[in-house]
Amino acid sequence: MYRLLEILAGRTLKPWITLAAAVTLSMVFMTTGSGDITGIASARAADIIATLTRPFGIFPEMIRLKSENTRLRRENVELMLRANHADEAINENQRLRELLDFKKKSNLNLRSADILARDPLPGVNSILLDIGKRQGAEIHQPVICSQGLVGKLVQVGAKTSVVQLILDRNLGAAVRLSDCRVDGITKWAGHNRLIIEGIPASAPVHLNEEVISSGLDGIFPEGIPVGEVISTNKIEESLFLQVEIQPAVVFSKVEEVFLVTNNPSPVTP
Amino acid sequence: MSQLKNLSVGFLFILLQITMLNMLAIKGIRPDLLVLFIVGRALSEGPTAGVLWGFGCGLILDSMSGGLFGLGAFTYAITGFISGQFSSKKGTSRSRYLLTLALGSLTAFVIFLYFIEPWDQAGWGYLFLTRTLPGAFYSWFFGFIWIFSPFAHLRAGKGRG
Repeated sequence: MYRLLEILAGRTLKPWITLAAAVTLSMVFMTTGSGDITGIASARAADIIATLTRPFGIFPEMIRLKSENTRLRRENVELMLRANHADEAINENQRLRELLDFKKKSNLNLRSADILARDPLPGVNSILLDIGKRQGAEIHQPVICSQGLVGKLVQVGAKTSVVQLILDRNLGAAVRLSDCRVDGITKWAGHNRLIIEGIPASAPVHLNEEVISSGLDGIFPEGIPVGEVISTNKIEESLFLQVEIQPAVVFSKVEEVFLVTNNPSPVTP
Repeated sequence: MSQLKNLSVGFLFILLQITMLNMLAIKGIRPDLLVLFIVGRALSEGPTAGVLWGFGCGLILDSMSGGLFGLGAFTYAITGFISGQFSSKKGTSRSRYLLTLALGSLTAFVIFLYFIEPWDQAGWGYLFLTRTLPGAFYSWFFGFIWIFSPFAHLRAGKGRG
């Protein structure tokens, strides 16, 4: 039968059948998503790859350490100069806090993690961390760094986990414009750009306004820096503004991140 | 070249892709090293092998992407198939490899554009010109360097037959 088909087609059908099988299987994976079986398999595969990846991480690490060393030396001098000013600022801050009866609200439990690999496919913005279930990582845990919000865990293996960055088509974070106190949702707009949707056209948004997480999505804690406004655009015949923001995090240069293992202000989904 | 050697080279490419390529990014554009390998295999062994190599390597990357599972396998399988159409029993010349690589990398980046990039926000034309074409060219450029390097023999074997 197969031979007959080949004769009728006038060519070998093997590549076409292989392609059809591969495409069908890929489509099944894509449409069913990371189900239980594919999820477990991919988490295990990521664990194995991560183990093999470690030696390769040495070379970029060496280059990074050299540049970091130079930078730290320079920063050290700068910090020494700032130290005097900082002491003064701390005293002033303390005094003002007491005056306002301000209670410190930052009660996040953080767990540090190193980045093993990043962006495996062109355009897919994700990173692989050296932390997994054994270290207490759980799916949907927020990931932050010293600059601000990074993303959330979407795949957790025994020793590794995958972070979906906020620069991903499928991830939106609930955010708030810090000055005008208007809430919206971020959406990836390509490369290193984010836009905020759902901002009323009447909102007094201004350039360079800080954007922070609002905590309303029940995933990301409130008050984490997300970026700052770089442009606003009134869409014709729409009640909303399109606000473009520059992310606070320089994703290509992030080396260490933190998992937020407790979210103090979760909203039940 | 034995399949074990091919497997090792493929794995090496995957490891390089996920660990070091970020350092070579220019304005967020990174080359896709895996395309170089898959095109080489497809030209050397034909379209069936191209599909299988592409599918396998893509699945490995999918396991770490956290994105649409199966997209890498889908993309690289098609890339392998198309590249394999240009395989020859006589072997693969440099020019044939570079031309096929141009087509293969463009294929891969166009598929990624469709499935990943937010073209509904930024527009097809803009993303094609600013992301897809530069990415494909950057990958091709690495193939160009590779083919004139001492490691060029790892690209493809003697041709299928």
